[in-house]
Amino acid sequence: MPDNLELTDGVEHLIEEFNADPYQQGALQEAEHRRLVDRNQDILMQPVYGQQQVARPEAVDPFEAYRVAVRQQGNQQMFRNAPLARALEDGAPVKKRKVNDEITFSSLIRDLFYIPAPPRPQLQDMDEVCRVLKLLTQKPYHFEDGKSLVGIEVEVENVLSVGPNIQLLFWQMVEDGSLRNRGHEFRNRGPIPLNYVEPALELLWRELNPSIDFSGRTSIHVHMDVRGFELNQLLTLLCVYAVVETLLFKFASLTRRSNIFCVPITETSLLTNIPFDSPKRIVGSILDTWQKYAALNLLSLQRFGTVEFRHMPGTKDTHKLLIWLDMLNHMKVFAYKTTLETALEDIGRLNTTSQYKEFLERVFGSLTAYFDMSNLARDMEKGVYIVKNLAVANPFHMSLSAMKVSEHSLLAKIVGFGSLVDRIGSEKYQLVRQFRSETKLPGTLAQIYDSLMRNPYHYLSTHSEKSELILKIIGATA
Amino acid sequence: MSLLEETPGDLTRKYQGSFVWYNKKLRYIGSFEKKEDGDTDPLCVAFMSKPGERRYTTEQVLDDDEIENIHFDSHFFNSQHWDKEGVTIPNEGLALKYERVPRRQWIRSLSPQTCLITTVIGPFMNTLGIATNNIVELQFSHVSQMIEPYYPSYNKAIDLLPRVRTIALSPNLALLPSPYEPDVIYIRSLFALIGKAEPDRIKVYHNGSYQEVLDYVKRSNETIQVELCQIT
Repeated sequence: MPDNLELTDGVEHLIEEFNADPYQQGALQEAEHRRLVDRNQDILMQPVYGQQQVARPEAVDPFEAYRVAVRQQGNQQMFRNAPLARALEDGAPVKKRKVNDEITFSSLIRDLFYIPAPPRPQLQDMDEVCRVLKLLTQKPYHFEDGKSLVGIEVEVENVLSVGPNIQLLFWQMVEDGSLRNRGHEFRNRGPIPLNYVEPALELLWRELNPSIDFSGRTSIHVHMDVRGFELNQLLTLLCVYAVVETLLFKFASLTRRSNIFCVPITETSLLTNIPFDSPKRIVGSILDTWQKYAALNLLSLQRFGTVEFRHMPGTKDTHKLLIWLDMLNHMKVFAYKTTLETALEDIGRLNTTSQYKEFLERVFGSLTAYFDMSNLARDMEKGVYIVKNLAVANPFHMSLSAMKVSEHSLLAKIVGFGSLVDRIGSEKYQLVRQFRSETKLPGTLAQIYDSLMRNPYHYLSTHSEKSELILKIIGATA
Repeated sequence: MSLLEETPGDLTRKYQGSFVWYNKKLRYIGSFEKKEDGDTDPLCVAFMSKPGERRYTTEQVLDDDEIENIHFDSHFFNSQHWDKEGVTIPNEGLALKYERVPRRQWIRSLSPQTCLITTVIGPFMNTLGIATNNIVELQFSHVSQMIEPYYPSYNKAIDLLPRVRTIALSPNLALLPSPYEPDVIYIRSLFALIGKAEPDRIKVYHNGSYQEVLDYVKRSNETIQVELCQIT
């Protein structure tokens, strides 16, 4: 509990009243609520930095105050989830988990990494907060699967004031070293269903000062919950993502493509290094080689059981963010419903623009309209080709990899592994001998020949009188 | 916060040893500093002609837009133009593969920290006992070649191969001499070996790459026969 009693006391009072009888006697009247909020705003809406730095919202954790109040009253209505209370002990680091040894393609992500159900706000509580704070819009965005859990991290700069309700249920504020100019990151306290993202964002925009800034340093990261995915469903998601990665960047922002903190996986060897044949090696490969700053971050699997999409630049455009979340969720649903085998077969058959478009429509449905399809072939072919390389077994490469490098191979011949006579034939051999004797160059015949082959222009300029001989040796004409 | 408002120390951390577009020209950045010049203390940037060079030239940064980061998509390129005078073909041959690396670091633009350049035959050469680095240090010439890549025609590449050891045909395909069989040239994609290259003919042994090779032939206007073969 923060030491700043004056501040927490105010919030505590607010929450106590809020909690007094939220379900039976009706919620607080708006006027009463506003009175409470206004009263606390005097304290909480102070500049984050400045002379009254003691009032930094980081130190004022109404959630913490609420939890204490709940404990004191023995009221477990707001947070029934016991792990939540434990997890909300701020600062408690999440340890890397041991990986389950018995791995199959059907293993669940939560079992692979021993990830328990995460602590999260209860639906009734979110409904209550939305109702009391009037966060519900007339026409809320309709998600196909609104119950799907997500976690959002919003980086913001020029944060001058933070309203008291922000940290009440949906958000927590944390420092982010990559931000400047009074920059802070707001992240969900726990995963929330997609249906509650709109009010949560509405709350955030409402409670921050209107002059917040989304500079090039800021971005919005989305964690999609995949704890219930089987390993093969995760791989399906990876493949589908690879195919549409460029389109996703085009929707979010192409400038993010060249950002070092959001590197497209199709431009790296992360995906192609995954050995798709062995489940155990797949998991090992992801954990050992995946990088956090890939546009699709898989390292969060081990920590939260989520995949993190880092594409979206900082923006206050709620509608765009909701479409973005819906797109990601469509991919997730597609991966959930489609076996890896089927997905790979489908992608393996993609060769033409019309097939690309059809595939997009199958994954994204009506959201396909939001993609820039002006150059679909170019934008999708690399991803498709990568997946084809993963998908269609390459027995040619595998059979060659099993062979031993031969001293009689073309490579050995070219790099001079065998004798020079064998490599170039007796006729050329004599020419090289003649060249060496006439130029008195040091080194073996093989060295002189290799040097000649690798840099003929040098010899043509330094031994121009021997140009005819040099051209004969290198097999070129004047 | 604009570039001009950042400290020289921060800018140096972000750009030292990286290639950038500066006023639309390719430059290699040494460091940033504030020149003591009366009240203004203008921000200056020191450019070097190439990595490792001691001499540098200094210019005043006047505008945010003067510096632009460089990043490429993963691709094959040829490290040098084989037909230019003074060219020495490196041990590992001409074909190199560029890819980006999403590691945690400061550097914002093209530099050894943000990309990985690997050879096509390095590992095979090492197996033969010929010490070759598989990872190549990013050079000015590489960047120039990536900005203006030059790929030979298919048959020309096959002719050149004994001299140049490996050669990139396109951003997605490269040729290399077989390390296993005599007188066989392999064609490979960015990910794996996919077939054999013969004059006027490509034998593709990997179903998934067949379309890729057809696309290459179509785009390069080559008259090459592409055959999908089964391994015997």
